[in-house]
Amino acid sequence: MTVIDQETIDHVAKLARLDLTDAEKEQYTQELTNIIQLIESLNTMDVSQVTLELDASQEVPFREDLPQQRFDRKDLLKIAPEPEEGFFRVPKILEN
Amino acid sequence: MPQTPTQTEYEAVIGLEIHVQLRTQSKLFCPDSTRFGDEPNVNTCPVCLGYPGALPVLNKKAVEYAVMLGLALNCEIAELSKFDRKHYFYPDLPKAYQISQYNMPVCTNGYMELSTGTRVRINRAHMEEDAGKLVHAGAEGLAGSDYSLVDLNRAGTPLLEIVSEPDIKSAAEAREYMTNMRNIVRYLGVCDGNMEEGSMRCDVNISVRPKGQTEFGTKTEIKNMNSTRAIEQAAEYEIARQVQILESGGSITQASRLWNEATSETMLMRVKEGEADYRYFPEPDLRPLHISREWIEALKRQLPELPEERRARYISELDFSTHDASILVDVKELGDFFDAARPHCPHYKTLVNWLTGEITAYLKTEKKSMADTRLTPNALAELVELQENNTISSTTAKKLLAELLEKGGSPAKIVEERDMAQISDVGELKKMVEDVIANNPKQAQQFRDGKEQVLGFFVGQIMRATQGSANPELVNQLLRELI
Repeated sequence: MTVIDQETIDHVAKLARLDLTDAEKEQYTQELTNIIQLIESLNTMDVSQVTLELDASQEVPFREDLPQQRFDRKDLLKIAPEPEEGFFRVPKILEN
Repeated sequence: MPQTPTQTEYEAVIGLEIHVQLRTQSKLFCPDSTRFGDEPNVNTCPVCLGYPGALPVLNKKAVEYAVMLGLALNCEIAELSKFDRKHYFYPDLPKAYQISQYNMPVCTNGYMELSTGTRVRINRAHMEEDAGKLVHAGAEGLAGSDYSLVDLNRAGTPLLEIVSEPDIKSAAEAREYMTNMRNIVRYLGVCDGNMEEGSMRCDVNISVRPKGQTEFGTKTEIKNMNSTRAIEQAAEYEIARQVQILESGGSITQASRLWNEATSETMLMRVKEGEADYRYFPEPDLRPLHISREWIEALKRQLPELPEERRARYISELDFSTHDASILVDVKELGDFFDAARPHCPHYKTLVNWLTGEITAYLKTEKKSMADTRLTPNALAELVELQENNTISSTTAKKLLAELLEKGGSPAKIVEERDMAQISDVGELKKMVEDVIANNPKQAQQFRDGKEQVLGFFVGQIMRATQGSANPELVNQLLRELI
């Protein structure tokens, strides 16, 4: 059974750009361990006979290459916290 | 530029990663237009903006273009491939993952032959979506800016990333590989091949090692080159820089470096700390991609003549010089023009000379493409015939060509209407020559006394009288006979 340790939490938090408190780290260590152990129960299934190829009977739905404009920028930008002149504005990327 | 020392002999080991923007009308997973230069975020939708619940649907044309390019690069085309999510956080990637292909790419195991005899193996070519563009406010670049603006028009544009093995041995070979790649995508029509606008982008991985050593040296990656020439210059610079560091007892730091066009140097961009943690996993929103044998064969039959086939045809069948062949292969529209004019023109060598000489020079000075001119293949073939059968002089042909490029028209008609045909009628010219000699007895005497250059004076008189249309060889010959 996999146990998520503090080091893994630090690594994942860094990748996700999350700044966690010690209490949160403790909480997530426990929660993620529970989740991964639940998912690990899938490993008991025998999938040696299952291949991607089995999906071959099902056709991939393709789209023809026909451009369409289906949305108005005005509406799409409505839910952005800080639209600016048609752009999405985002905070400073590099710290000084 | 550092000097290359001579004590130890070094060899360069170079591999290229090329991103080719596939020229579809719509994006890879949604129907937004891929048009360049529109207002920001006009061509976006919930799919490419990464809204929850929006589902990708694969563009069939993008798959066909990827397969065609793979076939042209002698790749094996996978009948079964799949898409994966590659995770990283950056504001130009709204989903926080890029849909790419990780361990089952559409094309594998290809190669390209170079003129040096080097065979560059192609490890793989995989489909993926492009990211958006950022504008950094308050500073010239990312560093020091207060905030950034995101334009996602480009997000979701189909790309094919082509990864070579490190088989390239010099800066010149790197340039040739890229030039050939650009030719191939243009011949196939799957990309416009425009590096300056970013339709083709290239990262060059370079290391050096003492000749004979089998293990690789530490490599650096150079980015930001927007021409084939820049690739060669950047690679040359980087090879020399690395050799100099090793020669002086230092070691190479694995890093990404930026090519600076203005100073012709590579500059440190960021030091690499191990492999980035992309946490790839299969894209659950897309089924595995099946490409049937029949589909692949049908695409193979549709492949046009490829650049190397055209080069071989020009050199072996038509006996072109390698230089002329290169011009007509590298500038596809000139080769197309030649092929269109040739059936109407038995003197095809003269045709080639016009295309690689006067016409290429004209296009360069005027910054035009062949399509911007009014010259047609038929008109050029006609012009060559008029010149070859001595109806017009080469001077007249040049003048006429300039006019045809600007205004178009039929050269035969223009020659007839404006009486531009050269006078090659001996009787007619003889009469003129006799008159000019009779009217200028002093100069005629000077010539008889051995003053050769006076002949030029007589030729000038005749040319003036005929408005340049006398056959100059004939005039010279007659003058010598009659004075």
